[in-house]
Amino acid sequence: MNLVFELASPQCSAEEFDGEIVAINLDSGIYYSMKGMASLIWTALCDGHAVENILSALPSDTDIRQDVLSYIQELERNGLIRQTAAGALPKAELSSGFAALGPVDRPTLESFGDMQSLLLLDPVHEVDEGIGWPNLPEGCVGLDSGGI
Amino acid sequence: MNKISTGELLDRTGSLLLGSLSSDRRFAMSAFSDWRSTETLDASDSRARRIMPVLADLLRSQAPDHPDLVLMRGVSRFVWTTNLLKFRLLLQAIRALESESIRPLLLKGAALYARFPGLERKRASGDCDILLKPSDVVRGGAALRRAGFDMSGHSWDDLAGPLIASYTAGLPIKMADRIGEVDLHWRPLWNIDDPALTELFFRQAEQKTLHGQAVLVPCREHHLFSSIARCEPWNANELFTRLTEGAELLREETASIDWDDVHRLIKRYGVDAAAEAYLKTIADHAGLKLPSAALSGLQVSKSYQSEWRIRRTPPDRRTAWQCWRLTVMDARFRRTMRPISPPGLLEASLRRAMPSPLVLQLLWQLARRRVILTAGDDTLRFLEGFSSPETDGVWTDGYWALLQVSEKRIELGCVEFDCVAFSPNKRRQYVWYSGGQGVGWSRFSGPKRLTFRVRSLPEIGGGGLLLFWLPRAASPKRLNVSADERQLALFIRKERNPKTLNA
Repeated sequence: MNLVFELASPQCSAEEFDGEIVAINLDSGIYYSMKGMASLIWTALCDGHAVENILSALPSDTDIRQDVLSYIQELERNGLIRQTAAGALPKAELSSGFAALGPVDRPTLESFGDMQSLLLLDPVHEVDEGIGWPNLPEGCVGLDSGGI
Repeated sequence: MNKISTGELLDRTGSLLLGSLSSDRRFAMSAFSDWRSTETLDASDSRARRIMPVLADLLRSQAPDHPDLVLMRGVSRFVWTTNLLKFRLLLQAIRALESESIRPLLLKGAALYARFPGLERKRASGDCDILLKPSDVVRGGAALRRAGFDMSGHSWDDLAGPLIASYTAGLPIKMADRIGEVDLHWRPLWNIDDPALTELFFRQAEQKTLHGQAVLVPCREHHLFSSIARCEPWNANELFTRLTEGAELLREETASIDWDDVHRLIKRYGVDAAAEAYLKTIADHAGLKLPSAALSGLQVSKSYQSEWRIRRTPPDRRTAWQCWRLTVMDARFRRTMRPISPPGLLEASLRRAMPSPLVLQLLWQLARRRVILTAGDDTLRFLEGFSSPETDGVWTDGYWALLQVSEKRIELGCVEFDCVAFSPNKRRQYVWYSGGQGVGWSRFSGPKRLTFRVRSLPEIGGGGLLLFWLPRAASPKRLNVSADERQLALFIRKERNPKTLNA
């Protein structure tokens, strides 16, 4: 379980926008979004923290170990991260972000496959005002999106 | 020395949006507020959309409660994602070319993103542009075709034809199910056709990395020069894009730029007036401090100013006289390697008058003296007044056109074309032509077969010349048919099988 991962570049690129991690697999053209706990785990993984350290940094009063492991597997399966032989960062640098998170949510990887259609949306007017592109306003039928 | 008034280069919207990019955040916020006081996000044009992530960053730092931020919430994600998906197509094209040992050079925005990776979340890209050496175009085209790229409006075979030597500098290619297009260029600038410039760009190119892929980009001096020289002041969107491109480059690299190198190219191609207006606009509106060397060496004479003023007029509104002036400037600075020199003053003046049959014959006599290269084995050479060759033929563009027929056809005594007139709303075209043996004319709408007699010109080494006067040429844009700004009259299809006069 002492696995260390890294961003699967160059086929994957990721950026942080207002606390949300957005990643694109350039081979498949699929867009991924990670928020809250998912974004924290992503950042910890790409910073070079071992999976074991991440699991041990989770708040002790929650039981989402299995969800976190599944989430990391999903990231790897979708070509966003890959294992590396590099050494892990010290555990001490990890805990503060998780502690500041407040109520713990289960990490989910949201994906958007039909980018051709999503990019036709006006990013200012045709999207949810609270979240922004690529999320449709409430009540609109989604294109091809959903959690994995 | 006369100076251009740069205040007129941008309209108010363009000036304020460029000001919003300033590193001086208070100045930038003031420019943004002035822009928003008269325009809404709903009505914002493509210029504002292109830089909206920067505007959003500005608001986050200067006015975090600004209501626009709610609407702009997803714009940065949208821009970054769109850019990346366009790069995806670009990288596929680069890999396809490298499979044939061809290394393309990135141009314009694509080169800027490779130079400054952080820009890909701040600036919306248009399509990605790559440059190939002309000698690699046919082989590169075959590699791109094998990789699944398509070409719209042309066939891949056209790359082996007269297209490369025409006024067209490149073509868009795309791939089914992929977002965006890649513009495949064989000249770095559409308005300068000089093989030496292409060679220079490749020789001094720098190596960068774009998402793990090693790429070539122009050195910073060549990048800045091409942004300046490409600058067309009549086109507000293109102008703004080129100015923001230069502003980004200068913001990061001003201290490293060898201004002597930039000025050498500016003077070689006579774009001093454009350079002065461009650099002063960036300095004044984007709040960039340029070294004195940036402007001190530029010599902006009256003729440069005159050209710059003409270029502020949209092409479809330029008079024949203005077109002639531009042709003369192109020839003066050897911006193009054309098979014909520009018309002289007498010819330009005669073209402005209402031509009679006698004048048409005289114009033909004057035109034949300007031919530098003869048609050789080419069946037809579209010398002057034609648009880019298309797969099926070529449109005339303007009121005058000159076409050269090869020696083989002259021996047969006549040449036939299938033509289509540009005739929306039952508009009839009048076509006057002179082939050296008198003047003929035709009036038609829609398709027609035209037959012309031609005479050889032994004194210039062979080759027959046909001069067309097309007084009813018009742009589809002005007739509300399409956005096409060319002055169309006649589409000449590929030549028919030759016949002899007596056949």
